[in-house]
Amino acid sequence: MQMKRWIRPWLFIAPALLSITLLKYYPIAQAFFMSLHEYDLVHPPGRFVGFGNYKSLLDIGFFWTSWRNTFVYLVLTLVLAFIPPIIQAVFLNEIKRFGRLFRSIYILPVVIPLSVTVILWKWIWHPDYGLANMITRYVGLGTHSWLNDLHLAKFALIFPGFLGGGIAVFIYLAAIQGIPEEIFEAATLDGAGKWRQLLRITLPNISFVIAIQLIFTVIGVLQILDLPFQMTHGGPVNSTSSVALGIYEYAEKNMDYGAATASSFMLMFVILLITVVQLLLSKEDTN
Amino acid sequence: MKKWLGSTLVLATAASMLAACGGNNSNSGAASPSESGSAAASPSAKASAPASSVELTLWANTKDESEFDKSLRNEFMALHPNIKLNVIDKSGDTNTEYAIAYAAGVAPDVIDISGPMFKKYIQKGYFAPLDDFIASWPEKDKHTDVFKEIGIKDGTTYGLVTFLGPMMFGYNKALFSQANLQPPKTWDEMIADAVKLTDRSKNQYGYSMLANDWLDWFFQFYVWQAGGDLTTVKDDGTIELQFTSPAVVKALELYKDLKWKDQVVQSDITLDFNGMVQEFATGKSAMMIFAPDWVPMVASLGMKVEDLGIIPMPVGPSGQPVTSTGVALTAITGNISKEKQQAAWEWIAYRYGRDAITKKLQDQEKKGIVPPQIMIYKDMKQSDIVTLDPAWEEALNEGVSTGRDEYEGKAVLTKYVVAAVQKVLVDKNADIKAELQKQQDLAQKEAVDKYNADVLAGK
Repeated sequence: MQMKRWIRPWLFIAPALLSITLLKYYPIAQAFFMSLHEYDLVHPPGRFVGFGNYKSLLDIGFFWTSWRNTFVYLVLTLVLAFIPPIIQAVFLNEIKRFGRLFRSIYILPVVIPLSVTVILWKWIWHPDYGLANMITRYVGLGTHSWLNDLHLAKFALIFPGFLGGGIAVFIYLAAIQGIPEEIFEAATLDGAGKWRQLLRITLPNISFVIAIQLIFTVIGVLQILDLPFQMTHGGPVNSTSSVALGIYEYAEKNMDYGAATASSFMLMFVILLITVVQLLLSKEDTN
Repeated sequence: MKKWLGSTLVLATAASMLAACGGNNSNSGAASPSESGSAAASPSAKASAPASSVELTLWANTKDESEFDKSLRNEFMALHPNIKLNVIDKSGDTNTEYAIAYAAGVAPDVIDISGPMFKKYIQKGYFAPLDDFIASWPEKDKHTDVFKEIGIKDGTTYGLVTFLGPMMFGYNKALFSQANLQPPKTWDEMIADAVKLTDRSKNQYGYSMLANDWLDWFFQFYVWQAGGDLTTVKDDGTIELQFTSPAVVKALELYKDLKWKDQVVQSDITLDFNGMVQEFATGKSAMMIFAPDWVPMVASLGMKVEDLGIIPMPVGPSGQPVTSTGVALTAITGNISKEKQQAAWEWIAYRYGRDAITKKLQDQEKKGIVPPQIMIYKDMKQSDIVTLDPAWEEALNEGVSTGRDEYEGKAVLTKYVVAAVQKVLVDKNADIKAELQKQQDLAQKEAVDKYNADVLAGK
């Protein structure tokens, strides 16, 4: 008996749909439920407090510091770390000899675990014998405390991204290589130089990929946890704490699961809002 | 296509969000016990052993625990054929993971919990009462009374003290000997020694100051030695902040001097506890506050045990020696069957029986690393069983007599103390009193009022 045509696609997506519902959306719903309670692990769910956990968070200075830091991370990332992979991909595309070698060099950092990168950069930023101070001293900029400096610590955490590399370069490179060669040839015949080709052909043709990358970058940075956790534990004086690090601390250190989940939902709401705005702008731009 | 992509991204955003919401080691704790002499360790074991077969789930850091710890479980099972110990490998902070495991119904049946965490958990009702087991335990009168109150709530005992370790002061004997210095007995001597032992050209400094996680736990010692405390407890159990008291100011002045005036501490204050221990073990740092059960840790990082000096904490302006005593308690998870609870008690009595403790010490001596420790039985003395560095033993004994519990309210006050101290450590122009006042005001508004309300409400 032939299976009804409309059933087939549902059967294919059913396992994934079921998994996502059970492992993603159910925990999200459960977390929202927790956020409305003074959650008691022994006698769940504990006392219902409505949006009391949300309100309490708004009264805590640390909560606002974390949000401020998180947005500074976002700005620093967009300014320092978002553009370099695009530039690197453009140049990598131009390199014909040793192209594979350079692509390998760029992909290599991706396979290095974050913990290793953290150890390396902690050494680079070390106030006494770090490479960063050797360089700044050499160029006459003096020495700095970097991670120990309230004003430089966030910069020091994000700066490694300025060096580019990583998977983003390859996403852009693949997009650039997907642009038909004929377009560049026609532009060359019409007298367009490399700079004009970049602005008029390359960037417009990969703008969709850039928009996607931008969305994922924003989502990723707003959830930043691993870097401040491993590099500075959120210090000094909370200058590198982030919203996600705060969530971790509410849950793991204070065992205040109500506050942790409430903070998670606030973060989710902000990310959703920003993502929707980005998508609307992107759509408007495309139109 | 765009619409589909948009929806997907929004959903992906939502789905990925809660990732951010996500202990001492349960069965590899400092004091481990018994073996074949189980009859001596737990005379009631066989008489009261569960009739049917019982499986107990335990957590253990199997990677780091000694062969002795592993063999102990096998010997217990051989002596108690109806009790099977099912070990789940667990590294990291089992103290905090326990709560989550409890909620998920996968908590171990027996758990070792640090004293501060036990205070939180006992309020939550995670543990089974131990009174009936203790009543028939032959060791009940000889078991230590130190900090036993942590394991008691409303007259019922929920935790048995199974580890005691006073905080002491460690120094690198080799560095002191090279510089022809004597270990410090006072703050002034500590500063003087630290200055002489600081040589930045050799990447060597005098004193390791923990300025990261756990900062306040180390800072509290200096506050006490200055003659005060970070909080005081009123008769009704509520707390009053003392951040701006002379003792706290004095302690923070010491920190400020060590960092800025004498410049004898590590220049990277983001150095965490593990990094700090590593720098001490590798001879980069000459002194640090030291717990006796860290001896194996520094040895594993390359420090020769004979180079490790352990002395009482240098005395501060109060002239009174004072330190804290690290404590761990062992408990039985409350939501398991009575039969399992009985089996769990058999395991506890066996593991922390004097026979097991003796054999563990002998095993450590054979390996050349015997951390000084307070025995959990009143009539037991470590140096009667193994050879112990006399200076270590003296420091241990002084630690026992001068040890106290951490400052009250630490659980909710850590971040405020940390912020004030760190501010002084990163800004040499910071006004100590102003920073302490600022954090005191914040702590009062954000944490203490609720803490006190909970205390009064009996939560």
